[in-house]
Amino acid sequence: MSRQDRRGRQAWIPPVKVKGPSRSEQDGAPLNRRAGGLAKAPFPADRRGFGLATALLWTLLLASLALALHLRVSNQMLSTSDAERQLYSFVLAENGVEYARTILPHLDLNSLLVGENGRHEGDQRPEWRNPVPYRQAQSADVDQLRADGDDGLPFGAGALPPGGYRAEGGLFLLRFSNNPEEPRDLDSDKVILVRSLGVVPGLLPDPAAGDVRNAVTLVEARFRKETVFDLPAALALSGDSGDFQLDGSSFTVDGGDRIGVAVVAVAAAGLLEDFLDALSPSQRDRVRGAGAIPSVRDVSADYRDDENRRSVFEASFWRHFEESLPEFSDLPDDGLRFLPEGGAMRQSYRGALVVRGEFRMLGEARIEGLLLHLGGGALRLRDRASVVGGVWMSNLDHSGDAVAARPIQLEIADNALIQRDEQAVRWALGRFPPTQLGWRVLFPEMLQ
Amino acid sequence: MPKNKGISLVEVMLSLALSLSAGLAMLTMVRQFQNWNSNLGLLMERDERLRQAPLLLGRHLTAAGNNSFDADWEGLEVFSEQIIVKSDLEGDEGFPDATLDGQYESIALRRQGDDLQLRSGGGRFQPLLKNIRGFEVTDWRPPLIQLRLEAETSAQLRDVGEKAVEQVELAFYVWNYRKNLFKEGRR
Repeated sequence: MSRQDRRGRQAWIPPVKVKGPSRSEQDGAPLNRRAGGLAKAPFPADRRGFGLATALLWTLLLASLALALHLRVSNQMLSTSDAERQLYSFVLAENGVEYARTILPHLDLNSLLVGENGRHEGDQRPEWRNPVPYRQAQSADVDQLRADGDDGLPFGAGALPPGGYRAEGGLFLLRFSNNPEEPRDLDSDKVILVRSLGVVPGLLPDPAAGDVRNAVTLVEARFRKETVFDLPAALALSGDSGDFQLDGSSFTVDGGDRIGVAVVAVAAAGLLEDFLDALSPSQRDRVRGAGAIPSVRDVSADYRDDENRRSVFEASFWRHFEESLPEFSDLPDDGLRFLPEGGAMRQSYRGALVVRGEFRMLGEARIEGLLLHLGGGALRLRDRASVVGGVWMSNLDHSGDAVAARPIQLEIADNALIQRDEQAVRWALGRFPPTQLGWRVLFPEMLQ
Repeated sequence: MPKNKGISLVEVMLSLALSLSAGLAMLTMVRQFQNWNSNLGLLMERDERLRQAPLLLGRHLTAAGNNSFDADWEGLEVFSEQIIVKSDLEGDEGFPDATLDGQYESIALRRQGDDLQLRSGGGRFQPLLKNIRGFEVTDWRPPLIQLRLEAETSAQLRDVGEKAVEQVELAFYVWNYRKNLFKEGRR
């Protein structure tokens, strides 16, 4: 029951207790003897408290603290992730350069520069040496990122697809271009640039960037492809004199469409004469190539005129080569090996074999590739030993400022064979790593 | 009208005491949380600096020595108090020009006071990373350089009374010092 007072407010009429103990008194509520029966008292007038308010304030406080902690940790995670992504893009770019270094010895540079379509599109595009422009790499969808055009992109079996190499969480893209000292589409000095772009996708859209902001690193390396030992003949002899033992009429030195024997004189012109004197009339047809019999030619001028090949006249070149060989040839497998003490060989080998000292190839010994004999003893090929590819012989004292030639010692007997094979030479040359001439990180303000 | 009993003095005193106790407990907990939060912030800030270190140092160290084979300066020199990096990075045409007059082509790194500092060219040393209390080259055998970096929090940790120190070991591969099988220079 309720009634209104003079001001129109509802008055509360407490219930009347009919029987039993005074629950109202126990509850603290006044009795209503007129209303009859017990009524429910949800909000007693004299019952007031701040429990709810306190609970609400507590909840608000805890929620605020939790939110603050969550935001702090989230920001820290984003910051950490950003640093890690940037570092990872750096690692990817470095890996791209290493990949380029690996494949460069196997690439034809002039074909590479113009790409699969055989023509260089030109240097009018901005940042044409990059796989893609830097800003584009920062904002593009990584899954859709592709190097544009085909200039400088390796093609053929085993080459990277235009979308680059995709690792987990990122990718790298490559493009080769000619060094700025030469025309963009014609290489002659074997020096080439490669730019590797490492890209790691961004996590969140960056309003300032207009789109997703990827982590990007661009690295450029300058390499020289080494062709010093791209021999012009089946057998190349470098020196001023030689002791040649050519036994029987069953051996063969065959240059194919190249020269049979090429002579590179160091200081004097006696080597060619010594070899020709060692050839008996019945042996002259055992040395053939390029349609000539005997096929023996002095190519000293060609070597002196060639920017790369003229290194063979430098003492420092040979010193560096022999000192560095052990680090690059420590594997027992085919590829690149160095035998500083010479020895004897009866088995097969594929690749580039560098030898110093007395070295004998006997029985069915076979080298498919390059045999570089650096003197300090004789080179002897007997029985059915064969070298398919090419042989270089020199015996130089490179301890001083200039090379000094010592006599070469060569013995070929029985059915020994030295045959020039272009494919074998290419494969062997691929075992020599390119020489790195420079390495730098490029930033947007450095790009042209 | 219901009888208004009011609140007695005892009840007031009791409720005050309870409120104070509750308030004190709450404030203590909040203060604990604040200390913890503050310490966490300091540690995060320190760790963030250490996370940036490989990026900041790597961009200079990994590309050190991009010089011509006959340059008359050394690409990376390590002294007891400094690392000096010289790298011909670019010229007017965007390619190395055999001079060190460009930005960040000749830099020095050192620790001075609480900062790891960097100087470009002939300029002044500027702070690169703050609150670095240790910077040491532990090994330099080309092409690998190894550093030890010690960072501390910018203030003492609450309830601990001292700064927290963290150490990291960094190794950088200096690509221009990589060994070549063939001599770099040509006559």
